[in-house]
Amino acid sequence: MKIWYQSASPYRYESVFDAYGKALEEQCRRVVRADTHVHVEGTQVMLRDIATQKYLPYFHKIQSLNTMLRAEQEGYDAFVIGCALDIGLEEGKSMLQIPVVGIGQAAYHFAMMLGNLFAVVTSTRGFFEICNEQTETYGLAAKHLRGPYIYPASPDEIAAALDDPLPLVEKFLAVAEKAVDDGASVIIPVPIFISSLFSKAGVTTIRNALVLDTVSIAVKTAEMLVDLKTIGIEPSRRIGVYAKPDPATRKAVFEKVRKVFKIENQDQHGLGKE
Amino acid sequence: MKIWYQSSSSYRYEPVFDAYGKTLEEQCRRIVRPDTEVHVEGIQVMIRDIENQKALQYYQNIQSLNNMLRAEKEGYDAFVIGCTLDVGLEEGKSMVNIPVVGISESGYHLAMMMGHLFAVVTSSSAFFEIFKRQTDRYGVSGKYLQGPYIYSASEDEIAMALTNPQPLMDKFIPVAEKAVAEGASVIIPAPAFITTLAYRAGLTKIKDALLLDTISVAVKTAEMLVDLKKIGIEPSRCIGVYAMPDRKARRDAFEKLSEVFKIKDPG
Repeated sequence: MKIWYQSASPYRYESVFDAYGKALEEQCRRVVRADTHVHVEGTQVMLRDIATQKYLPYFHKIQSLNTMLRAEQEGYDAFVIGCALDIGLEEGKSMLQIPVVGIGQAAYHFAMMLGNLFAVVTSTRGFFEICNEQTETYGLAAKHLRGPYIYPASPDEIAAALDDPLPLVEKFLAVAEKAVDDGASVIIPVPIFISSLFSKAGVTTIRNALVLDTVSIAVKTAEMLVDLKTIGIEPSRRIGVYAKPDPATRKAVFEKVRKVFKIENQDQHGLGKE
Repeated sequence: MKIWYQSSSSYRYEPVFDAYGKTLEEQCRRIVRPDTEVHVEGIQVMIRDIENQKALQYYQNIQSLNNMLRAEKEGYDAFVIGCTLDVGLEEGKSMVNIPVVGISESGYHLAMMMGHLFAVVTSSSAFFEIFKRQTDRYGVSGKYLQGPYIYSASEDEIAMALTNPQPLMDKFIPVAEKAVAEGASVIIPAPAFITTLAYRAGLTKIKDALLLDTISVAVKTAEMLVDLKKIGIEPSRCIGVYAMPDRKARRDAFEKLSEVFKIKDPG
C-alpha cells in the first residue's frame, strides 16, 4: 500500500525543513504496516500566518489539490492532508477515487473514542477559531472543550523549535495542563509540527491525559480506509457532498477552468483517466 | 493479532445460530489482515426483545463484561462489542487494558467521514430511541438524520431471515431508500444482523448511498487501535471516564462484589 502524506511545510523544497520532513517520515513509518510505504511531500509555496488570514487558505489550497491529482495519477492508495486546517479535504473527497484523510477530522473522531472531552491546544487565535469552525462543521463540537487554549507562538518561534524545541514545548505544556485541569482527557496539539515534537521526544501523556499523535492517527486511518474500500466501503460517488464527476466531465471542467486557474500539469496527471 | 468479536446472538451456545456465527467469522476474516485472528463468540443467555426492556439490558450486560475479562486473560489484543446497543462499552474501556470497540460508536464515526448525513435504519421504535440517545451521548448527533427510519420486524421475522432473508430485506430496503431520499448518504443498518444479511447478499449501496458494513468497520477499528496502543495512543488510564483501577484494586472490588454479583473469573 502506498500513502501520500502531504505536509504543510516546504519539505523537499526548502532544505531547512529536511530534518522535519525526515522526522515525519520516521513518525509515519513506525506505526504503519510493514508493507505500507508513506511518501512525505511538502508544499512548494508555504505561506506564513495562513491561519490568521482567511483568504490565504483559499489560494494555498490549489497546491494541495494539484498534489492530490498527482498522487492519484502516480498510483497512491490514499492521500493524507497533514495540515491541521484540513485544506482541500472536502474537494479532495469529491475529486479523487482514493481515500482522502484530513488530519484534523481523523484526530477529532479518534479523540472522541479515546476520552470524553478533547481540547485543541494551539499557537494562535486564528488556529483556535478555525478549529472551532471545524468541529462545528464536522458535527463533533459536543465533545470539544473549547478553551481557548492558546500558547502564543510566532511562526519564527515555531521554526526555531526545529533546533531548540524546549522553549516552545514549555509554553505548550503550561496551556495543555490547564486544558487537562478544565476536563480534557485528550489533547490535540496544533499545528502538526508540535505533534511531531512530542512524538520525537516520546511524550504521549500530559498530566495523565493522552496527547494525541495526530500524524500517526491520520496514516492509520488512511490504511484502514484503503482496506475498507476493497470491500466497497467508501463515500458515495453519485449522491451527496462527495459525489464525483465522471472523468470526461472533470477533464472538460479543468480545461475550462484552466483559463482562470493554474492547474498544474493537467495532461500529465491523466485527468481523463478513472 | 487476536480480536474477540462478541456477538449478541447465542452462537456457540445454541446450534440455530451456527450458520449466522460462521457467516460473521467469514465477514470478519475477509477484511482483517492475514495475521489477524478474529474469534466470534455469542452469549450464553440471550434475552428476546431486549431493546424494549431497559432493565433486562442491565441483567444481560454482565455476560459481555465477563467475556471482556476472559478475552483479556486469554491474551486477546482487542474486544469488539458486536451488539448495536454497545453493551458494556463504557465499562469495558475502563475495566480492561485492551482496546474495546463498540460497533455503533465506530460505525457513527466512520459514517461521518464517509458522507454528510447518516441515518440508522432499524427494526423497532425502541431501537430507534436507543440510537437517538447513543448519538447524543457520543456527541455525533450533528450529522445524524434521525428519521425515524423503522422497518417494523419482530424477533421471529428477524430469526427467520437467517434461512430466508428476502422478506426482511424487502421491508428494510424501502425504509432505507426513504432515508436516502431525505438526505442520508450513509445508511447504518441495525441490528447488526442486518449488516450480515447485506454482506451475504453483496449489498453495499442503497440508491447510491453507502450501506455501511458496521461489522467490518468495527474489526478494522480494533486492528487500528491495537497498532496505535503500541505507540502509546490509548485512553488515559489515570484520569477521566476511562481511568482504570490497578489489577489488585480491581480484584479486591470484584471479590467484594462477588457476594452480590456473579463475576466469572475476575482474574
